[in-house]
Amino acid sequence: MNYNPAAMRSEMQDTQQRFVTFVDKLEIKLKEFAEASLPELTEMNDNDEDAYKQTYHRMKSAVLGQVDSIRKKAYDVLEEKVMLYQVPWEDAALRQQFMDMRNTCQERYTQLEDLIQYYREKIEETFSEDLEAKYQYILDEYERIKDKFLCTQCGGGLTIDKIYFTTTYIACPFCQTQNTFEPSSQAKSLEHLGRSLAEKRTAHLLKASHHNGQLEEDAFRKKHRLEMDMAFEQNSREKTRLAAELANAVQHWENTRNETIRLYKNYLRAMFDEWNNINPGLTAEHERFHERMLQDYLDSKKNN
Amino acid sequence: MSNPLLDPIHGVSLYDYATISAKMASGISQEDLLKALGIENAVYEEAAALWVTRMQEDQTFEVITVFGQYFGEADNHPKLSGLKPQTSAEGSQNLEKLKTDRHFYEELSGARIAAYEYGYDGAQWILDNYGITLGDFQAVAVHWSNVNQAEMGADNYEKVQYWVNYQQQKQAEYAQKFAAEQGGNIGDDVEF
Repeated sequence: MNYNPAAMRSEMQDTQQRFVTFVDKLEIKLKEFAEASLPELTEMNDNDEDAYKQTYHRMKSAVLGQVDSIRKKAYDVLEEKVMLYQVPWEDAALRQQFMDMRNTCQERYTQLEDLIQYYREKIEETFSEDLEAKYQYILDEYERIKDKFLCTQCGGGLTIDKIYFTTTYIACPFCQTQNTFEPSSQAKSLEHLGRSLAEKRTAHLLKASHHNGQLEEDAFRKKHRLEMDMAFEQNSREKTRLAAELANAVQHWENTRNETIRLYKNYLRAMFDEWNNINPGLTAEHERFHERMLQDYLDSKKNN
Repeated sequence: MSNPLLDPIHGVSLYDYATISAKMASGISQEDLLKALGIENAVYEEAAALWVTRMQEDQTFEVITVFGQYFGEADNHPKLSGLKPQTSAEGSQNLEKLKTDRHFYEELSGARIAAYEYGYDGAQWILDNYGITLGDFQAVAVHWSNVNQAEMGADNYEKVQYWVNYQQQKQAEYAQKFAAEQGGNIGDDVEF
């Protein structure tokens, strides 16, 4: 390959400088756009009357799309101008400069990605849903209608004995006619809403389990590092000291791991108890789901 | 031994449930579907709620896998195949093309993803522009997903990669189109 080293050095320097400036400018655009969008999305979420908040979700999706367009633009340039830059590999000085350029640009791109991730999370946080209010609406509605349902045959008053979330037959105690009771669309959402609400009410317990999971990971890393140190240690005295330290580390890791499992079980039980309280009609089915989730979790711990 | 979680619930089989879900996504009313099956609303709604719980408790994912297969075969259901959504002649032609022409399917899949990225309702965009309902599109998606699985199973990774690239290329093209409709992307005036 014929090449001019001086020209290539200059070109790489120029590319590196231009890429950093290019990402700086993209970051400014990103910040301006995201900072302006966040209050708009929050307002839209608060004011969207639609039960599924479709207008808000479309808007959020468009905002995320624009944020991602910045990432794509930076990535395409990184790939085309930096990663695929051709250097004569046999020229050690140029090769080194290429690797420096690549590392600097990759690092700048990663910083942009981190900022994009930060804004993605902020954008997702603009969504909120008052599940307690939705549940309260169902409870209030039930209180209003429970004694107002009349038999289609004899006109006798029928009592709706619980919140039904599917269309149900109710027998008239006076003439034994089977009446069809159709719950409102809000009541029909009880099962699904119940799970989301139960998860929200017990989120602090899940967070405690995740937090302990982090401690468990730290303990695992420490144990692993000591195992490596032990494997390479030649000095027998030092090896004995490391062995004692490792035994403590293993014990600490096992204790932390057991605590993570206990905290997760605690969360899962509390979440399903809440769900059962909200929709007792499917308690037996929820319990089987609980068993499955617990088993999945324990299996995942076995494999890690 | 067959999985008891696949047994019908109150006479509603998993095939019935999956077909009803597919047909409803195509715009056919639950009332018409249940009438064709001869099942009362109260019975169906409870069965449908219980099918969801079966999927939740099934650690093997067999229920949800079979549901997906049946969803894709909704048009072959012995009692419900005759119930079709009202579609234009052009929509019917496009649907047939979607089933047989994988380039067309991957193009619309890419377009749909791009549409959502630009704040459009992707499913509605396909209905408006090609007359294909969400339910029909999803059923065809199951078919092509099975084809893809078979290609992977046969270690035909070159072909699998070809379709991934093709869809991404189309997604990028539609993204440009949608961006242009909205006056461009926020970083368009930033040059390298």
